[in-house]
Amino acid sequence: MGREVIIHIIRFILLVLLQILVLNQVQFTGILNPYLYLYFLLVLPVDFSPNMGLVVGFLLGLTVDIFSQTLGMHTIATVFAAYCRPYALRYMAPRDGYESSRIPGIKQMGWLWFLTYASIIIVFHHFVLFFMESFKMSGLWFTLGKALGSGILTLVLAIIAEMLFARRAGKGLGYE
Amino acid sequence: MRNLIEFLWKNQFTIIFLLLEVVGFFLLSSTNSFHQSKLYSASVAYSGKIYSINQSYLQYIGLQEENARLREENAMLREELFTRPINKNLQNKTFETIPATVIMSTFNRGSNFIIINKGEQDGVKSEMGVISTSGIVGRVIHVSDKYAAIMPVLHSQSITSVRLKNQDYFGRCKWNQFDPEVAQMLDVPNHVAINEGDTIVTRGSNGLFPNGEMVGVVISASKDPSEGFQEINMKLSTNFQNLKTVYLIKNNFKSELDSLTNSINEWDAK
Repeated sequence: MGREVIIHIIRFILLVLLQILVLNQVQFTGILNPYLYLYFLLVLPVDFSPNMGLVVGFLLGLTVDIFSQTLGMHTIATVFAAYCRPYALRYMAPRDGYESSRIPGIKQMGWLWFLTYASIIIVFHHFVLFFMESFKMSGLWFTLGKALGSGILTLVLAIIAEMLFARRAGKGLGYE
Repeated sequence: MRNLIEFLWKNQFTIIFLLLEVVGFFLLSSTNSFHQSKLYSASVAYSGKIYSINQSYLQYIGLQEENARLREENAMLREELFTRPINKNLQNKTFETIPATVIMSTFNRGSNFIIINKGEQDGVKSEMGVISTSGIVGRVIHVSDKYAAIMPVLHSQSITSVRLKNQDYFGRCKWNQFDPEVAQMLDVPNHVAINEGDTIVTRGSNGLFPNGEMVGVVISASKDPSEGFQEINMKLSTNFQNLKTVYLIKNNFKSELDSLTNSINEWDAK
């Protein structure tokens, strides 16, 4: 248990650093920006308390906000994503429940499951975030396109991260 | 009472969610309303520290181009110094500049920001204008001890008062959040003839910038009969995608100008 908590904390710090020092500065095609820090929320254990999930989401969003000079924006979007997470998990639950595996990852749940699950959370997060960013409705399609493009980038990066992380986790880092 | 507690307990997940979102919206609104909030300067101080560590590893990238650009500017300034008659009146001392290095900047969001490595210690104050070697950048909005945050032209709330260089019509420069290279000039009446390639410069009306600092070049202008004002797009002369050296503009008479503006506003309010 203790080991798992430490792994989560390290992952939190690494993902936030990656987000603010690399992803926020590397510009994909000029206007798209992936938000990989959301990956932390995605792979929290299935039985992680939803209330704690909200608090963790709040802290995650706030940390990213502090370093992006956007106080509030990422906080609101990430708390919302954390709110959606238990519902997504319940909606996606296999017929015989989650007992066999506790991490919602590709390795444990399969490709299609992870893709659907990650897409749901990423879509909700990105749409809230991008609408916070530009309140006005005049650029509606532009904002939607931006959210969608960035969401796809985030999804691709999350899958890459999942492939890297999950393999390690399988080798006895306390998961499964 | 018992029912209420039971209700709260049953819906604790949603209630925690709503509480946290309220905190989030409070944070969001605090960044819009008061510029000098403690929260925000703390945020600038912390992120400034992290970004300056990052910057110290990345500072050599692109140094050659930056040097070339600064050399070019040096040569231009030297030339100007030779041709300009030496004039020691007050006018020359209205504006002073503080050079600074950009340690973090964004340009692909709806509201972008820049952090520089100069702060209160170096005499930076909020509401100072910021220019680059090629044109205006924005204004200082938050200052911590060693760092400062700048609201660039590429921000939804940025408004700069500008004018056409060759005919003295003035208007506001805003950004419509689409293209980081293109901003808009508003409030120019339809009857003004504007050509592609016309230069737009600062008006200097609020003391942020000197009169005549480069802002951009017109790329398209279309008349809108229903509004009475033209839609003007300009290519910004500052390249926000590789900003490194900027200059903060200290206006020695800003307080004087501000108090005058305030007294006019008070007069209007009466």
